[in-house]
Amino acid sequence: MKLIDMIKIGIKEFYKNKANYFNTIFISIAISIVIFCLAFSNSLNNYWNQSVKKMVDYRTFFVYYDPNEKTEKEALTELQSYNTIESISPYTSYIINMRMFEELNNTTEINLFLFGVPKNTVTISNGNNIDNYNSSDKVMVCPENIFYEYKKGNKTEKKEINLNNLLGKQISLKFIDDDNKIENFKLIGTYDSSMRQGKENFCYTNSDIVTNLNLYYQPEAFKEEEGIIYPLIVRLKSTDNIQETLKKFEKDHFYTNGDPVVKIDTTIGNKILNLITLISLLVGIISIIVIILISIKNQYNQNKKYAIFKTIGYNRVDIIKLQCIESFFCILVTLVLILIITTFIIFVFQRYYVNHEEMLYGLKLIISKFNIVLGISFCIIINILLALIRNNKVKKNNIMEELKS
Amino acid sequence: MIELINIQKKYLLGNKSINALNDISIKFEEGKLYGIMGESGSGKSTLMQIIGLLIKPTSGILKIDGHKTSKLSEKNIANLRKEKLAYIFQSFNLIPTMNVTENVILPLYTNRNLTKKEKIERVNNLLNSLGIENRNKHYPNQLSGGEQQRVAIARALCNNPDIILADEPTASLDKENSIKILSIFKKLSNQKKCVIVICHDDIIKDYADEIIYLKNGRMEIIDEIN
Ligand SMILES: Nc1ncnc2c1ncn2[C@@H]1O[C@H](COP(=O)(O)OP(=O)(O)OP(=O)(O)O)[C@@H](O)[C@H]1O
Ligand SMILES: [Mg+2]
Repeated sequence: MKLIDMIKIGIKEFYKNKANYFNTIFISIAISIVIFCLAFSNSLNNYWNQSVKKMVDYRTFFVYYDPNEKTEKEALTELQSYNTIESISPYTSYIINMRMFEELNNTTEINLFLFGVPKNTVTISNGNNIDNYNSSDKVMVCPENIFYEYKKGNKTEKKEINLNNLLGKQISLKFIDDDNKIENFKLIGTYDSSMRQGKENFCYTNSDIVTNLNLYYQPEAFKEEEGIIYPLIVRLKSTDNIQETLKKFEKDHFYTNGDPVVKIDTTIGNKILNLITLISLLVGIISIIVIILISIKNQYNQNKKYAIFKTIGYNRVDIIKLQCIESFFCILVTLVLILIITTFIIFVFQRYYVNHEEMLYGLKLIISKFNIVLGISFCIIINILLALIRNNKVKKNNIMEELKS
Repeated sequence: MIELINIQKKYLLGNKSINALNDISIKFEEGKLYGIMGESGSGKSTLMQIIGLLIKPTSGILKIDGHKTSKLSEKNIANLRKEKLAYIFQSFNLIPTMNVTENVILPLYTNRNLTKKEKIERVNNLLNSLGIENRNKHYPNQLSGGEQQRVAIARALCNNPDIILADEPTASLDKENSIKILSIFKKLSNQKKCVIVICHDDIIKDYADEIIYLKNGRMEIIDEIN
């Protein structure tokens, strides 16, 4: 039998058989849900780990120590020996609230938070990164679009200005409580505004700069006083290390309230991830069972058809080949459907849920290669399973029994 | 061409066994048209299915062209069906998802000696000679019983088989069409083929060379007509 004839019969049998439609649609939806769940949990996990770059920080902790037990320096060296920690900085370097006077429109005053960050922290989309400058250079990276407030009647509204045309220029900043001194910062780069958390302006500079500003403008807030302990800011390498590191802190007499700087309970996060994975697994298993039940039911028709093929001289190999071609088209159509359905679900979910959820600000749902491979294998495995069940049945029955069913 | 020696067939239904065929010994030769008659349940279809290699006898020997069929492999049996044997079922057994042309051309796909054009030509000729050429795009459920029967016959004949087994091919045809079909079978038997037809109607006596009567699974008489 010629391959082309087989393919012709295979295609026709595929689209004439209503059960195939049901199977492919059902399998596609099930696998799409599985892929979506995996992609979501994957993206979420990634998001939490990349969080510092987006100002949604699940990796940074305030860590306290007992000053009677160790000095700040000792505490620093001790923490540096942890292999789960990416960077440590003093509390003074963390954040300072400044005002920007927008050059284009002098009447607007823009409020921003200047963060001191260690190297390799900020991902920029335009210009240069702070990593290329000395720790004493007064340079900063801001979002592409920066918010400013203005009064409209009784209401204050927020609007955005694009900063890209100020790249490379000096920008004057003032501390919120001080009108006299001007700090000139060079805007060296901007980052993708969609990475920003919430409706606040976050700019980044080197930790040392923020420390200097803090000690200059609000020294009283960081004065060494009896009974006041300033924490160290510790950033972990990954959210996976949280539990492990917290345990070690306890052992080494470091204290933390166990919450990252941006309060997110990672145990809840992990529960969400586990739940999603569980759902996808359940959907996967249930769909396999349903599909097998349906195809066993559908099998009688199929068996009769192939019994007729046998009576007119087709041998087992021919029939297996025909079934394979039919399965192949099932797989092909399923894959196309999966592509469409998954893209659709992800688009809708991104647009109507993620983009409106403050906690997930800037999260981009992405299907990884691994998810795709998993989906395809799942699809192929189901179809092979179905083909095997079919073949088993074809072997067992004799022709007359199959014809009569 | 076909030889049956002491063929017996028992069906097991629960713990009851039904003797569908008993001690059948008979020879079928090429160039002859055989009619099988007998009342309902006498074992006609069972006998035909054994000859058509669709079921195995409980005991006894079936030889085709001198070869014992019990010794044949599955593949050889498939080849026999492809090249030698054609079976026309009482219940047509057309494939519902294929139209008339597709159903009829189906056995030809396994034939590598013919070009596509020859295959289509052959199918059209057959449909013509059976008077269903204007139905070629219809699906089985759009055809009357008689038309379906003729499609089944066309499908059986298109690979040019040496042995044609027809289980009540005229049951759903009117007299005119029955005569048409039986004349075709007669013609085939004149072309050195072996045709075996189960028929309730006495009309078969006008065409058959021999009539075999079955009763309760036993052979009663063989009526040699000429
Ligand atoms: N698969 C089967 N299982 C059990 N008994 C069967 C089976 N097929 C046939 N029989 C029995 O074998 C006997 C012969 O049946 P068969 O179909 O050969 O009769 P028939 O002569 O073709 O009848 P009809 O003219 O009605 O087609 C009947 O008693 C029938 O009930
Ligand atoms: Mg019968």
